[in-house]
Amino acid sequence: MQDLIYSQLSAVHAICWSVYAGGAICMELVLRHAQNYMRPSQIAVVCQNAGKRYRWWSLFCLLGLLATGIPMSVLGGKLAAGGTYVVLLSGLTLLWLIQMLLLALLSFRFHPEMHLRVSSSMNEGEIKRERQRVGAAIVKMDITVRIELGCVLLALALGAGLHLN
Amino acid sequence: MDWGLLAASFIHDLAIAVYVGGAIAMEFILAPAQQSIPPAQAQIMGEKSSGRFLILVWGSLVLMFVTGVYRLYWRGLLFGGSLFVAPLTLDSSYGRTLLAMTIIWTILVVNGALITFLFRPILSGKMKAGASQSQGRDAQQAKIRAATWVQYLTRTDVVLAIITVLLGASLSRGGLL
Repeated sequence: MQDLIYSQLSAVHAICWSVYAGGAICMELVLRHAQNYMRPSQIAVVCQNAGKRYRWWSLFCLLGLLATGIPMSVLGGKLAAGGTYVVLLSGLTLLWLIQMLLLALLSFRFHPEMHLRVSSSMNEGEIKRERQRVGAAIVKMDITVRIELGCVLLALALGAGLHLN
Repeated sequence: MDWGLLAASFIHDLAIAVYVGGAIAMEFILAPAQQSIPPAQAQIMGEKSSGRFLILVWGSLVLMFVTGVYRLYWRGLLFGGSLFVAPLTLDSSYGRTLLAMTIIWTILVVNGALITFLFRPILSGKMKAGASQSQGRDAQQAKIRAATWVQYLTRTDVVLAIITVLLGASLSRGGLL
């Protein structure tokens, strides 16, 4: 019975992980590449639309990883042994927290900051400042997404190490 | 710790994640976003994103196979006394599960080849100057048929890839079938 539960948990865990990591890599390598051939006004529309969906998928996957990861580590029965297993598991937990923090930053800070707010009552200086603000938000967003991607790759390496342990 | 095995496991997991997560992102994130922009721009976005994604798909499929074979070899399940060493035989659940995964991988390769070499050239084909109205209509019909096929194949691939992940996850406990 315990084996069956563990198998099902690990299957859901693997799917959540694949969707999360693969989605992040695909958004970086595929969407960013396609953006190079699109008009800036259309890039903004696509980014807003895709970004919103991507964040929801990421949130569900990260929650799925937590919901399956905790019982898996308990049922796995290797926690008491300590050593490398616990170190790797702690590393993965830390990375999960960082990913949640990055997702919160993207959702509540950088993505809303990227929306250009220009009104007809603004003078040229104000419009310029608004554009600079959006430009700075895009740079912050890019940096955050790359850090997220780095964390994904590191977590993959730690996960691979965990399975060999 | 064997660093070669660690690298192979890392690449194997990465390839699967890119395939499964990429397919889901293409279907449920990029495709709806594509519909939010004018058709001409959407076509450019579709061509560029699917072209890049196909490169990732082929890379992932090749890496999955190479690293999978390496891992089996490292565990002593391949090229031992015979080609397949127990439990990599049809008598055991492990062997049957791995056979199912190999069959699915083959189907994914065939589907990938159909999309890359048959349907994508039709979709990206340009009309020749001086083509008649009926030729134009035929080409349009062929594109619609190709797009429908690509959609069917892509969705089949997503389902098959998820089944592969389920089967793969079960291998750590001896297999599922």
